[in-house]
Amino acid sequence: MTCAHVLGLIDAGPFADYPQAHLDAARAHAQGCPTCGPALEAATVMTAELRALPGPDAPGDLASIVMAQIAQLPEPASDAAPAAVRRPDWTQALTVVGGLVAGLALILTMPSGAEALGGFVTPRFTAAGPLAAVPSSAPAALAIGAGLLVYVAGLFGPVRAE
Amino acid sequence: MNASDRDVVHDVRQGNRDAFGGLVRAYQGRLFGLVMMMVRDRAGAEEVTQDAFVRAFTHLAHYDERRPFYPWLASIAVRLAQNWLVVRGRTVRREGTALESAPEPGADPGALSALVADERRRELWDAVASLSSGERTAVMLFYRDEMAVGDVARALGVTSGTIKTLLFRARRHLRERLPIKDAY
Repeated sequence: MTCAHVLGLIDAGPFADYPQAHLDAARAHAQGCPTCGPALEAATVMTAELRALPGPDAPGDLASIVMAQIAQLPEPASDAAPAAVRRPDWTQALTVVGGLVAGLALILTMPSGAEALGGFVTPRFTAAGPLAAVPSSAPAALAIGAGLLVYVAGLFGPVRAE
Repeated sequence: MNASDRDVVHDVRQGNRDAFGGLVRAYQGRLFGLVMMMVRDRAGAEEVTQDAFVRAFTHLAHYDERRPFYPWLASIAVRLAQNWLVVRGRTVRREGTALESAPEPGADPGALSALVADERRRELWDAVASLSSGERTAVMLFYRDEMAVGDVARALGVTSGTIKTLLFRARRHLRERLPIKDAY
């Protein structure tokens, strides 16, 4: 182990993760070395001095100022959290039903949509031909409008706090 | 975290705000010294220290009681001090990168020693105060506040390797700057 190696270890010693055997070897070298011995001693003193490093005194009124600021704070968020809100079940049902009605009516007004839907629903539905499943335009528009209305009513229905 | 800190934090979380005063009194000296060393301005250090305690109180819900209280508090103070320096246009970037050799304009490290009551240690305080921002912050947290390298790294938002490098350089600089006296 060379002096350069040991001097490097001395500087890094307090915080480096060296194997204990490595540090013991460096210490043994330092004990008999006129260069590394004083360096190790100085490093040890420096570590002790830094650990005991005094600082300026905190202002005497620091704690009272902090506590006065804390006293003026509003209640913590966790204590003052707003109550949870929940939609009544009937508004959720309206949203679902309205959406289904509007969506179904919209699909049925399109020939390709009716054909596609017929393929999914029942063979009986498509047996009469695709156009048979398409409603006339006025009832279809009415169904779409009503479905949308119900959907929106459900969406913007009242909520209640819990 | 020691038992008394845990008790105090528990009390505060139960709604007893006054209990937080115990933590303020216990750590104000350590924290003020750390912040003072970082910002090197007494009025700024007072402002940052106060903010750090208030911030710790308002964010106490995020504090993990299994860990020591002071490193968590110090990490808040370090971030606030860094912000304070940025706001005042001083050179501060990520600790451990541009800070090693960056002097902060407007700061007078020598003036700080006048605040250190212990005459014998003033020289060492001056030497530490003349280090780069990253080095002196790491020195304060590792040696004076006895925080583990990992905790110092978390407080500064860098890796443990960066902290070891900062500490290594700090010791080398201190050895160069301190006069040969006694064991130095």
